[in-house]
Amino acid sequence: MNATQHTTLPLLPADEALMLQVLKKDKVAFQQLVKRWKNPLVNYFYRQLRDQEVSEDLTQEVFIRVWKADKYEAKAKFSTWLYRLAYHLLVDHYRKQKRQPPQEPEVLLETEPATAISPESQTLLKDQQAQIEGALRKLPAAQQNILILSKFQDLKYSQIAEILNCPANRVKVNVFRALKNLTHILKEEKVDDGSF
Amino acid sequence: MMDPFEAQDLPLDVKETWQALDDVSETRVSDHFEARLMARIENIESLEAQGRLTGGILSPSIWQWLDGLFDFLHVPALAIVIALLFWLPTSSPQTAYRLDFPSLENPRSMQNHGTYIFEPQKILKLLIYISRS
Repeated sequence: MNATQHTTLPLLPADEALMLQVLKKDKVAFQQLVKRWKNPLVNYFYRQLRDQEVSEDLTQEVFIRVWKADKYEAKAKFSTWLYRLAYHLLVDHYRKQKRQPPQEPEVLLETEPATAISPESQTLLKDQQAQIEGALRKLPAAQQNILILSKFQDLKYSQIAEILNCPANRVKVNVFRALKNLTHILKEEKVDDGSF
Repeated sequence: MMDPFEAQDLPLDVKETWQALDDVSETRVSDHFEARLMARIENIESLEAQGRLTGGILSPSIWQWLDGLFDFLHVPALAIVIALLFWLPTSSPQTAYRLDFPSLENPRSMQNHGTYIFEPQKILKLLIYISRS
């Protein structure tokens, strides 16, 4: 998930340098970028769509656009540029689907190894997971997106602002609103369950 | 992972929700992801190369679009041809089929002045014959 950690290692070329090579149709550089970014991108889509196949297809579309790009300004951060592409593809996808309700999450796709956890803890963890994922799905698409960008994709507010094309202050406010909304949904669910 | 809540005065429940988001599950990218991606890219490149071979004026997608259009066009084209076959002989003054009714005084004077290129009945028979054969 934390793809930018790789880029900080001194021996590896930065994403921006690789992207400049990709502009010259360097397949090795492109494959390196794919290796670094496929996981964060697939998960960016998956956390919102809950569909593995569609998430991978959209990620491939992003990479195809990266490969076909004929312009890239190295002064912009590569991750910002990449997520901007991803965000536009997601919006297009929602438009095509007319925001149909996301499907139920697929079971057993978690990366966590199950061996070290007791069955009770596993059940508890799954319950918590189901609860937070269910609440997240109830948020409006824009709020889901902004929460996922800020929580999981390792982006600064200024980067998210560039991706969404809005002021950084508004991003901050919207993240807070989304979180408050999510808290409210979680509380309502707990009341419905009788556990609150 | 970035924590947006440096401020101490934020409600506790909101902070807890932020922490709870850690439980959202991740997915694993399938093993064939990169192979499929490279195959798609090669396919796109070969299509583009074909486009260049066709003169670089029209991309393959335009050829496909034109092909589809011509596939469909025979339906309206046939309708237009049939309409013309019936309209031309009757509308033009030179070729119009004019049925002159016999004058009441002299019924034998009836003459058929009409000259026409196609006889609609024969064309209809021909079309029926083609469609049945």
